[in-house]
Amino acid sequence: MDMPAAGNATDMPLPAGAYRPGRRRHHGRFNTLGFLTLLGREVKRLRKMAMLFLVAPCLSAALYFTVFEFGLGDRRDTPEGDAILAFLVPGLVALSLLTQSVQIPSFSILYAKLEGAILDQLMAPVGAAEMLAAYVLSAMAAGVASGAAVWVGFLVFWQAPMADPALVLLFVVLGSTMMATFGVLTGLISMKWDHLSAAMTFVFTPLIFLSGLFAPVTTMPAVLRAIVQANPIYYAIDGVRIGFLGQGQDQAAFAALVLVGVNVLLLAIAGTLLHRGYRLRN
Amino acid sequence: MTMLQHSPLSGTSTPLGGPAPAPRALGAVNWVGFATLTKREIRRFLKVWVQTIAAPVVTTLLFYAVFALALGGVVRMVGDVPFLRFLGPGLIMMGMAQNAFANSSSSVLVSKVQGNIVDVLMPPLSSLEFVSAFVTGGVVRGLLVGLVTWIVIEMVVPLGMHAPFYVLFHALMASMLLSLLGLIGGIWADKFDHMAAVTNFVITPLSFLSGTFYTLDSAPPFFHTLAHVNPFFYFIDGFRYGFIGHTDGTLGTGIVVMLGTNLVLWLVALRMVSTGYKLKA
Repeated sequence: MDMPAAGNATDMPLPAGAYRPGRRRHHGRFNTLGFLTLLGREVKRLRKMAMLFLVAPCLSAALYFTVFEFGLGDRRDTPEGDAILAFLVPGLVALSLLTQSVQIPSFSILYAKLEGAILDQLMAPVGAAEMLAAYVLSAMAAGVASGAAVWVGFLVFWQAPMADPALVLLFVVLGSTMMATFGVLTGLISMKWDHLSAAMTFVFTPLIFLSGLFAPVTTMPAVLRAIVQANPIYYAIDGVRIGFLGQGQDQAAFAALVLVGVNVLLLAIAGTLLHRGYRLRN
Repeated sequence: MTMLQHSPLSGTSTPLGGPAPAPRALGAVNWVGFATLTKREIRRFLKVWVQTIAAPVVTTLLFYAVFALALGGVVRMVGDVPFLRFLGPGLIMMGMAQNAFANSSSSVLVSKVQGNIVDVLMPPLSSLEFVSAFVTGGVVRGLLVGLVTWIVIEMVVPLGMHAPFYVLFHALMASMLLSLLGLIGGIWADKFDHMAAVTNFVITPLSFLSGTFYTLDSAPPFFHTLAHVNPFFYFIDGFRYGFIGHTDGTLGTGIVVMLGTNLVLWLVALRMVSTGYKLKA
């Protein structure tokens, strides 16, 4: 037996985190540990903000619903009125899903940039792919949690069954990925809070609101319909609604195709910018 | 320097050896201080007008478009008024109210968090001058947002003007009320989360459930009662009456409620500032 000599200094347990020149870490193409660590941090952040992204969207969905219901006036409790409300409910679920998905990562990235904490992950062996995956997945989690909260809230006072859960899931994933990637891009591009709030007010809120969220495109004037149909968010909301109501499945394939295309494009842009360290390493 | 030599306190001397400066006489009201703080409050939001004026106008117009699209096809008339004319004044008022609130609350809270609140606590400003300046800032922002929104909506859907006095009175009273609420909220809050909670859970529900989007005749009795204890209902109703001559409530009651609520809030705000509640801790 070839026993090491007693008292050999190299065999003493080193303190945690000490430099060990002999030990080389290999990450392969994707640093799974780094990705999980970053994801874990983002999810911890979310836990602290549960009030903002779970309770507030439920309240605002309830307010929209109430306002629409009373706004119907004497059409309330008529088939016509009920059709408007049935159309509205999946839209409100999608509204909180998409809004939270875009807000969470943009806020997180800009905050890390302004506080200088972004250094912690730029120094670590975490590449663009790991960062993008962690941010997008945590934003999806927030979006899905917030959409689910709104949906469960609605079940209390409004029948909102899912006609086709698989289709709902598909469009929830596609829609929140798209918005999360938009959020990552917004966080990267923004240099201060003003930029972020301008992007929300002048870009994302109009895009989300003018997407057939509250009214079917078929009832819109032709010009507006064309604008709405050029808006990728329209396909996400429409897809979620098709899944909920089980009507118009023939459009679902096209909507999914559009979303896949937009997602590939956005993820490629965000990945490239992260890889280059655009507005991160300067 | 020459001024100092004429100081009535020339017997004592400053560390630098010269005579001590005389205290400045301010009179009953420190007009310069009030005007300076008011100017600061107005410049504060004008500097970022894209966020403070343009953004709320765009948001309000979006709401208008959305509700017009969603309900305009089904609900053509509210009473004898077209739905779009009914909706306009309420939305203008909502924008004004929310921005009057946002202005004073964010101003006080940001100053507290950043620590530069001492800059307004140290100068010889009475609580009345202090409160008036913050309230004026909020009122000016509220009125500006309302004015711009009104001009834009008027170009698309002529709202008309039934009783200008009611429009002006309610615009002023509502902006003042919300500005005072914002000041009180900003003094009370310790961090931005508190303010976000007040906005999300108090101000937004109050403004949504106020009869902006629907006439109270079509709401269930519970919401009917709820609206009558909500000051938002009175100023939206009175403001709307000024434009289209349609009222859901009693205008006289509304005027009394507005004046009464404002008076109480003034007293609360003055008391908070004079005792230094959460300001001079």
